[in-house]
Amino acid sequence: MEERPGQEEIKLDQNQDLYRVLIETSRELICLHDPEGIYLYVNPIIETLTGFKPGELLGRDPYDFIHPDDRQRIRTDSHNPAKEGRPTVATQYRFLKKDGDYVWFQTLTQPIRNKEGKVTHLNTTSRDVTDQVQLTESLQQEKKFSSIMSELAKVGAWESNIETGILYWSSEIYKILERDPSLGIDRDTVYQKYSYPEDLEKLKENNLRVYQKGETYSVEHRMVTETGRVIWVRTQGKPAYSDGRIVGVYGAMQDITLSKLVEEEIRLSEKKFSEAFHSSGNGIILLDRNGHFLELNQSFAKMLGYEPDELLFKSFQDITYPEDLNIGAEAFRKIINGERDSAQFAKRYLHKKGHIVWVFITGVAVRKDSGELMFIVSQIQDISRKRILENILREKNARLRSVGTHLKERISQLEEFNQIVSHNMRSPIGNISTLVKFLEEAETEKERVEYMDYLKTTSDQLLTTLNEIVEVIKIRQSPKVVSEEILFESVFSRVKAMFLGQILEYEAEIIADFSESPSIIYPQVYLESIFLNLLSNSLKYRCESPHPVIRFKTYWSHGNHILEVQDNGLGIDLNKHGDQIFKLHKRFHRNTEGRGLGLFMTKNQIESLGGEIHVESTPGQGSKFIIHLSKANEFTI
Amino acid sequence: MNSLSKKQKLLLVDDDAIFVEIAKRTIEKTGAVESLKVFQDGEGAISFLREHQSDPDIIPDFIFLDINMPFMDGWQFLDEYANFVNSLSKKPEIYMVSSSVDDSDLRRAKEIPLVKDYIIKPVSLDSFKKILTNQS
Repeated sequence: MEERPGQEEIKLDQNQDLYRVLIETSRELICLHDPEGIYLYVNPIIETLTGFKPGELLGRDPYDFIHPDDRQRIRTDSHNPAKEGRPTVATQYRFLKKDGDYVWFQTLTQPIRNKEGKVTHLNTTSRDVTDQVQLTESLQQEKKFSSIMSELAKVGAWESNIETGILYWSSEIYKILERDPSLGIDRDTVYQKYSYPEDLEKLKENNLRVYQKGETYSVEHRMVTETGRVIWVRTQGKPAYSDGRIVGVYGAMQDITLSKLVEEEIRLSEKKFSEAFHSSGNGIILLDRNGHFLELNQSFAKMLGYEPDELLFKSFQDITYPEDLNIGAEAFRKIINGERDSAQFAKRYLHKKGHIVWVFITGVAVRKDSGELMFIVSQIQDISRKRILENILREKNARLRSVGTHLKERISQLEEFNQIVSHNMRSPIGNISTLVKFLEEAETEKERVEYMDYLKTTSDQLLTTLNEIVEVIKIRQSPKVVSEEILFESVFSRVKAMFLGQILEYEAEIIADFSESPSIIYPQVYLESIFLNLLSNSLKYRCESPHPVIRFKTYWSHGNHILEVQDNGLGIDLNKHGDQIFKLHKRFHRNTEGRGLGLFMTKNQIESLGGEIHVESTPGQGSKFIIHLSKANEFTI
Repeated sequence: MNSLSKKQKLLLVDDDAIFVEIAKRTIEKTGAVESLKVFQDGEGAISFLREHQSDPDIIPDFIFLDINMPFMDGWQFLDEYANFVNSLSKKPEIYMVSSSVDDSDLRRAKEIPLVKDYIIKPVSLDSFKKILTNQS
C-alpha cells in the first residue's frame, strides 16, 4: 500500500467500518507488524490458512512460524529492506500450520512511515501458493528425470521445421555427436559433417516420406562425431503439424553403438561355435533335460552310422548299449538337478549296424543366470580303437605274466627233480657202491650171497624209482595228450567199480555229484588216474569209525573248472606235512603201505595241463582236495 | 689211538634197510661201539628218547639221522627233539646222514645248532671211526 498524504485526516467512522469489513473478509492474509516484525494485527483468514486464530499470533514473532531454512532469506530479501524503508520484493517461504505441516506463502512486505518519515510499522500481505510451488517442484523433478533418462539412455530429441528451416537439437544430441551446444546447429551441417555418407540417402528418404505421407519412421544408421568416431544411432521421426499441415519433423535419436557391438560379438561367437560344432572331428551334441538330442553334428551321426536327421527324434538312451544305461545316468541326473555342472565317463553306444562303439563323453551344463538348465553340451570321442589297442596290450601282458608263471613252475619242477635224484637215486647208488666193495672183500660164501641179495634188492629199488621218474618226465614233457569231451560220471563209475570190494568191505558211502558241470574236455587217462588216486587215498586213510563217506563234486568258480573230493578220514597234519604232501615217496601215516607215488603223479598230471591241486585237512576230521582242472583264461578280452 | 677204551652207544634213524645193514657192519668194524639201536623213522626214535630221557645209560652218545624218511623226516625229528632236549640226562651228538648233496639241505643243517655235522652217504669206515673216536 502506498503511503497517502494526510492519512490522519481520514475520519474513522463509516469509512473505518468499511475498511474493517474489507480487511476482515479479504482472502489475502493482511497483517500489521512493528518494525521488528511482531504481530500487531492479523486478519481472520489466518485461521483458514494455518489453523491459528488471529489472537494466537498477536504479540508473537513471525520468525517462530517461518521454516528455519527460509528465515535468513526473508530477513535479507524482505524484512531488512522494509525496515530501512527500501523497496522489497515478494518472497516465498514456508509457514508453520497449527497441525505441524507447512503452507507456502508468497508475501509482500511494505514499510509504514510517520510524518518524520521514520518507519513505525510494517504491513504484509500474503497468499497461499502451496499448489503453485508443488507444481513447480514436480515440473522441475520431471525435467530432472527426463534429463537423467535421456543421458542414461543416450537419447536426445530433435525438431526440424520445414518452413523456417530451423533445426533444434536437445543437449543430449550435442553430447552424442560431441558438438559444442553454443555453436547451435543447422541442417546443412548435419548432412555435411555428421552424417555417415553411405547412410545419408536412407535418412533423406525417410524424412521425405514423413513430409509427403505423414509416416513415422525408426531407422538404425551410422553417424560421425565431432572427433571422427563412427557411431551407431537409432533415429525416429514423426510429422509435426500446424493447422493440419505438416510443417516439420521431430523425433528422437539414441546412441546404440554399445549394443550394436555386443550384438556383433554375439553374432561372431555364435558363428564360431557353429563352425566348431559342425566341423569338429569329435561328436558334439546338445541334450535337453530328458536326454533328447536338440542338436548334433555330422561327426556324431557318422560315428554311429546314422544320418543326422535320423537321430534328432531320439534320445541318448536309445543309442546306449543296454548294459551301460546306468553309466552316466547318475551324472546326468545330478546335472539336471543342478548338483554338478559337468561329467566325464566312458561307455558303449550301439552302432546302427549293431556293433559296439566305445566312447568317451564330456558333458557340460549350460544354464541361464537364474540357474535353470538350458541344455547339456557334450563332446563325444570315439575310443573304440584305443580300447582295442588297450585290449591287445592287456592280452600281451597277460601272456607275459602267464609265461612268467610257467617259467616259475618249470624251475620249481627242476628243483623237485633235483631233489628226487638226490634223495631217491643217490642213496641206492651209494648203497650199491658200498655193497660192491663189501662183495669184493667178502671172506665167506655166506657173506657173498647175503651181499648179492642186498645188491639185487637195491638195484630193483633203483630201477623202480627210475621208472617212476621216467613216467613223470613223460607226463611233464608231453602235455599234449589227447583231450576229448568226457562225462565225469562215466569215468567215475568205472573207477568206482575197481574199488567195489573195498567199498563193500569198509561199508563206505561214495557220493558223486557232477550235476553242476557234467563234462570236461580232458585226457581220459589222466582223469581216470586222478579219480583212482583220490578214491584210493580216501579209502586207505579212512577212520575206523564212523564209516567212510567220500564225496566227489564238480563245479565252476570264477572261470575255473573245479573237482572237489572230500572224505571224513584220518586227515593230514598240514602244519607238519603241508609242503610234502605231493612229493615223491612221502607217507604221512605209519601203519599203511603207501609208496608215496599216487598224489605225486596226480599233481604232475594236473599241472601238466595247467591246473592246480590244493588240500585242506584237519587230523581226525578228514581231508578235502580241491583240484582246478582248468584255470580261467586270464587274458579274455 | 688210545681212545678205543670207551665204547659208544649209537642211535641210527633211517628208513633205508640196506643202508642200515651196511652201516651196522661198518660201525661194527670200528670196534668203538657198545650198542646200536635203529629206528625206521623219526617218530619211533623220538618216543624212545622221551621214554628214556632221564636214563643216561640208555640215552645214546651219537645219533645218525637221515633226512628223507616217509613219515617223520629228519627235520621234523629235530623240531620235536628241540622240545625236550633240555630235559635229557645226556646230550647226544647229532649227525645228519643223507645222500642229498643239495646245497639247501647242507645249509639248513648248518643253521641248526643241535646238529654237529652233515655227512653225505655213502659213509666210509674211516668217517665213522673219526666221529666215534672224536677225532674229527
